[in-house]
Amino acid sequence: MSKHNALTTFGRSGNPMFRGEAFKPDATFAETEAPGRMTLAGTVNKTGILLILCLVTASFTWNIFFRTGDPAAVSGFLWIGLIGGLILALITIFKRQWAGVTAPLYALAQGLALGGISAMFEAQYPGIVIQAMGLTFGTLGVLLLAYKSGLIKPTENFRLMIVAATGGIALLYLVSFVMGFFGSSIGFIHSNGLFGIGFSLFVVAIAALNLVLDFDFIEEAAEQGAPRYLEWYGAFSLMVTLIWLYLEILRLLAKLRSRN
Amino acid sequence: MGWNEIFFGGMILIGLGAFLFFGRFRAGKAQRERQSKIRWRKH
Repeated sequence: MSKHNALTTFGRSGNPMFRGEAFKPDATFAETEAPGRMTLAGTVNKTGILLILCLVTASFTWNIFFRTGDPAAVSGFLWIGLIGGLILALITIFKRQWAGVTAPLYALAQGLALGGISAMFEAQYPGIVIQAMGLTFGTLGVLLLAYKSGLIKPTENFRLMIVAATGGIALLYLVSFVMGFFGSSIGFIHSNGLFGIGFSLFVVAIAALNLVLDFDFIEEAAEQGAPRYLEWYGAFSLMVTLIWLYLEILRLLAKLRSRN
Repeated sequence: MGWNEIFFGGMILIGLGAFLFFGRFRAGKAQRERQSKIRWRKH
C-alpha cells in the first residue's frame, strides 16, 4: 500500500473529533456572513467559559467528598458525569451545530466526574491534583506557543500518526474495560512498574500532541471563516483533549507516588 | 501554602494565561504559509 493510499484509508478514520464530516460541510465558508464567522478570540473565550463551568461542578463533587469522606457519596455524581458526558460528547460530534448547547452541558457533566475522581486521588496522594493541573495547563501553554511560533508543524503524516495512536489507546482501554467484567485486565495499563509508567508516559505524550491537532483545526477553521458555531465545537475539542490529558497525568503521578 | 502549591499553582496561571492571551493571535507566517498543512476540509 503506497503512502498516499494509507493516508486515504486510515487518515479518515480514528479520532471521531476529526472525522470526515467535521470540516466538509463548511466548504461554503465564503457564503457565511462576516459577523457570523468563527474567530480565534471567540474560541478562546468559549474555552474559558467551558473551563469555568467544569470547575464549578468539579468543586461541587470535590466538596461533597471531603465533607463526607465517603466515596459512595460521590459515586452517583461520578457516573452521571461520565455517562452524561459521553452521551453529550457523541451528540456534539454528530450534531456540531448544537455545540453551543451541548458543549457547556458536556463541561458541566465532566466537571461532576472530574471533581469526584480528583478528590479520591487527592485523599490518597495529597497535593497530586494541583500537580496534575499545573502540568496540564503548563503543557497547554507550551504547546500553544510551540504551535503559534511554527516550532511544531503538524502535517498529514503527523495527523495520521496521532489519530492511529489515539485509536490504538482507545481500543486498548476498551478491551481492558470489557475484560474487567470477567475479572481480568491488561496488567501493564495499571501497573506502577517501569513498563506501566512507560505506557502512561506514552499516553500522556499522545494526549498532549492531540492538542496540536486541536490548535491546527481551530486556526484553519478561523482562517477559512468557518461558521460561528464552530467556535463552540473547537472549544469542545480542546476540552475533550484537556480532560483526557489531565486524567492521564493524574494516573501517571499516582503510579509514581505509589512506588514510594 | 507550601512550595507544591506555589510552583504548580504558578504553572496553572502561566499556562492558562499564555493560552488566553496568545490563543487570540494568528499563528506565525511560518505556520500559516507552508505547503505541508493538514487539509482539514478533505478529512
